[in-house]
Amino acid sequence: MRVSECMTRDVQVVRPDQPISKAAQFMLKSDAGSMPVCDGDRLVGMITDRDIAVRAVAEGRGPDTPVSETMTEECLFCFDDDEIEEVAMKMSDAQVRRFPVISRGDKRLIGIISLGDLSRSEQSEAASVALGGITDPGGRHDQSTEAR
Amino acid sequence: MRVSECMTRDVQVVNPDEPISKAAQFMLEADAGSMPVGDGDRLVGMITDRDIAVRAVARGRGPDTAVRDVMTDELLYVFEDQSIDEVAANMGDSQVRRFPVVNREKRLVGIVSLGDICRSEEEAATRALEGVSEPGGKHDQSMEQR
Repeated sequence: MRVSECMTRDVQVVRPDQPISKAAQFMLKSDAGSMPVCDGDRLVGMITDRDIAVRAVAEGRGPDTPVSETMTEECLFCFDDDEIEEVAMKMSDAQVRRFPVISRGDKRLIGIISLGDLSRSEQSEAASVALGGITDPGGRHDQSTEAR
Repeated sequence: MRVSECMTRDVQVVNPDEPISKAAQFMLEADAGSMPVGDGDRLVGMITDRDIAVRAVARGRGPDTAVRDVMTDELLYVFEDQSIDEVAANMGDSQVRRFPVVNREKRLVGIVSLGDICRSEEEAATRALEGVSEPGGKHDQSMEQR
């Protein structure tokens, strides 16, 4: 199965010049821990709830701090025509729960794919690959040896 | 195996009156996503990186906001003499990765994480494997360890 078949297309994004309070509000409403940062429809980074806490608040910076100063620029992403098993492996390796999805043709952000999307897809095998190392240490998808 | 055998005893605590910037600094240094909030050695809550983002920053509140205003005071904790299997099941149910550990007098004595539990289970598995690779070894203790 391809990413485009189970991704979420209605993706909430934040601009790099918006304040982190705006990003935090989105994360609260959508019950998400991370969101893509876009300049127009070009992906320029990802920002997480943890980035806000440890890169802004820990430094004594307020809610008006721009997203661009706390986001992670080198973010992981996947293409809409990637196989979901591949993406599940990437998520597991990176310990990341959401990947922005880029169209291979024109490199625009067209969606987001989460562990939840993977587990709702028919091939929930892919989700257990991603979660395997964490939740089921003795299970057959345990990747703790490879992770070392 | 008991919680007290695999927990971390050196536990960083933040006071409810301290600013959230202080809690965020601890979380950054300790590479942790949550920490216990303690008043003396009495556990009064937990605070996470997400609490700081969605309960303070999302509402336009600054780094000087008091920890007590954003912490979760509904307490999930485990006892030091509980078995780790029981705790592992609890963690799965509640989607929490770190639990404060208290003694039977309800004093905070440590913290136990999913990582601590996985490591101790891996050690047990390694001991079991050593037994397998040396089938006749008289020192194989894999059965006793379980």
